[in-house]
Amino acid sequence: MSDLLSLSRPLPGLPKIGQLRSHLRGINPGLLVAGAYLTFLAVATIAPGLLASADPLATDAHHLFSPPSANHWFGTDENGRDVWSRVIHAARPSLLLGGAAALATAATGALLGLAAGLSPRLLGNVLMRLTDMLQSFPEILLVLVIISFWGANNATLLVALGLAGVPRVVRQVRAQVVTLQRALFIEAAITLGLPRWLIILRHVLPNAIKPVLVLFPLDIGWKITAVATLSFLGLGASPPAPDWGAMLAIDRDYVLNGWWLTAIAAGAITGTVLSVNALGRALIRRNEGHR
Amino acid sequence: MRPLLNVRNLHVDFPGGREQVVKGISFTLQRGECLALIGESGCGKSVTLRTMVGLPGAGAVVRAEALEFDGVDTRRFSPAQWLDVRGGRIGFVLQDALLSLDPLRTVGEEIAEPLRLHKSLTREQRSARVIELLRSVGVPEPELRAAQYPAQLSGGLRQRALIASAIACQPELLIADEPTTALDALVQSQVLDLLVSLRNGNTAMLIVSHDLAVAARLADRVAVMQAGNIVEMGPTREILRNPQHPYTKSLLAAAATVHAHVSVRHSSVSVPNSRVEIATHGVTKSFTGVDGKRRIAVEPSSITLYAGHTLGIVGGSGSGKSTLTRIILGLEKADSGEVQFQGRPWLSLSSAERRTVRRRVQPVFQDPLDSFDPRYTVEAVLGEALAVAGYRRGRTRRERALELLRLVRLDETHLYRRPIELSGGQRQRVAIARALAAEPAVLICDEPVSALDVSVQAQILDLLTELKRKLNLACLFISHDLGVIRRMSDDIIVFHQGRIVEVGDAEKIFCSPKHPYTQALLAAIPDMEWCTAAA
Repeated sequence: MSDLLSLSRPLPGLPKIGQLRSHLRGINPGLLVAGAYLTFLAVATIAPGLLASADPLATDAHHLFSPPSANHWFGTDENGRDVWSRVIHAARPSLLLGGAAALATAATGALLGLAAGLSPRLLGNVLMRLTDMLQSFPEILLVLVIISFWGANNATLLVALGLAGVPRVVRQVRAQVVTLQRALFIEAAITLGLPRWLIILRHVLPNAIKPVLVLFPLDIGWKITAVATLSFLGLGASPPAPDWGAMLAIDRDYVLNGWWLTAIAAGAITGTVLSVNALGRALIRRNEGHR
Repeated sequence: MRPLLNVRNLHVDFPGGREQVVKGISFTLQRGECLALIGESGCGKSVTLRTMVGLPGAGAVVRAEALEFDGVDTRRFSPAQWLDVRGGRIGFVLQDALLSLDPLRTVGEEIAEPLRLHKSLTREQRSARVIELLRSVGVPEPELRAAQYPAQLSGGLRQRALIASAIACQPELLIADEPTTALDALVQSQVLDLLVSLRNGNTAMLIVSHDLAVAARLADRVAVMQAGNIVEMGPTREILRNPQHPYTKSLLAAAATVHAHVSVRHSSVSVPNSRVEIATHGVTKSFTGVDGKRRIAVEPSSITLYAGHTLGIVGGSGSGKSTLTRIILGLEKADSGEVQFQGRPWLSLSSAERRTVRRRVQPVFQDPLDSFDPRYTVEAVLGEALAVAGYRRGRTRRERALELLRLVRLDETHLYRRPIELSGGQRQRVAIARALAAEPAVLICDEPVSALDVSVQAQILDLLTELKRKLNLACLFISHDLGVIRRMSDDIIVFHQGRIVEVGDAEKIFCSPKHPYTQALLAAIPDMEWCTAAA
């Protein structure tokens, strides 16, 4: 990845990159690095074979714990598997599960929030108190409870991770909906004689989910951490499959044999979450400039 | 004597912005003197004010030969020194009272804060002073109000609370951005009296106002700003009586048109022959206040609005005029009474039945920007209203949208913009175009020009007058600006504490008001040469 970092810095003397530089001036360099890293991850998710030719599951008893080299960029692990390949192949499950769970959270939360904001006071209150109950569980505890009931598979993980964080979104959306209903442009739509469902669909919902959309990348970051945490605890992907959290959990037993194993797995998680957060924060900042 | 404020060749710009906001202005201000900056929005008035308290805005670059407060270069002030100066030696009243009061603190706490920071008073002395301050800015029931949150107060009360917090520590310099814009004539006069007495008490004042009458009443000197420059500065009387610069002349001319003594309003339609568009019968409405008491917002009131006629509604803030219009628009339910639209019941319809007729009664709000979905372009805004009037998506609808834009003196280039990219006047034109797109019989204008510059006000009022005549619209026109009301209305209703206290022909009411409240209201207008020209 270090070669990628240096590429994101424009090389002097090349006119095209010079133009690029003037185009990118004003963008904070950290954001640029984050963008490059995420682009790289996107490639790893879509076509891991392009970046890593070695089989992430192929063991090699002759080369256990070999340090990073030209053959094995990130070295090999306790079974002689190529770590570069494993790190690349682990991107897809992490990102897909993280992204899907964040999407599930946003969608469920938005629908419930809309319902709570629009329904009569009594029903809305009932919905909000149920949300409070859900919120009173620490999110990761909630996830653990669900997984221990239904077992660790992708569907359960998705439901569990999706449910965690829903209360927050419900509150956000409901607050927006309540304020929006008194907004002047909603009243303008009422006086035009538009039916209520159309006003909700056209004006209330799209404006109410704006803050949720802005916070969406931050939530992906949280979900990816959660996926890694669960794998670390042995509740995520099953052992031979490449997974950042699982790699971290197993490799910490071999810190003395190969310190780079844990460092690389941890680095992959940290880098991903940092990059997604940087992007999310940039979005928030951009949004704050506007109404 | 050393001036309290000394500004020489001040430049403020925002790198990356299109041009300099303030381009080398100079002025001085003595103790006990009031200087008014006047000019259109975007001319750099507000940035100048903010620079005086060291808050020019994010990323601003300030350059000046001199920028001194009481002989000290303010650019050398450390943040700690600024903390001492702001709120203590310099009081600052921002324009937007809604945004500059903390929604989570009571009004009393807000006003007590500068006292807590800058004066050593006991808690009892502080709360006594808060009540005294609220009373001095004309807030009724100060004990009750001090315990309330900003959201529970009307705009006028909030503005007064803001002024109270700015003058809490008896500052040497009071800086105010449009201090009375949101206030009705009576309260405005009260606040102006207060400011005048502060000025006489040796407080220096730097105010920004677009209301020339306010400047005339308050300021010793006036500086006219245009595009970042002071184009003319001098004693108030001289500037207002004998303006030299063409820009000053155009500003004064615009103000004179808005407050035209000879009104152009009288329509050829005679009242008895025209159709009754809206009639209300004994409409009442009350709200429960924070203290649990029922407050009557509207007492039984009946009004009649004829086609082609304009009915002006006058009244102080909180007098119930907005509530009545909201009831007529069907946005608020009345407690009792009935509203008829073209002789048919309107309030008692089910909401589904009313929906089909709704587009015939259209509002024009005070703040056009808030009345548009922030995601919508002008095309989408107009498209939505046109769809209601039966235009399907396609070429005819687009052509009709363009036709409407031309009707309100805009063109195709505005069609694809978002309202936030338009000026205040352009936004209000779009709002009027949207109202017309629905093909209404009645326009309900709630303070349609009070957020606009004087010259723009005149244009919008002209436009409304012309459209009303062309389309034979009935118009309910609400304004706290009596000059605007007089110019637009055929008949006037005076509202006071939820009750109609006087109804009649506009000219008659303006020249010989019967009810004491109307008389007080008219007497409070800063410029009092009302009837002389018309009589």
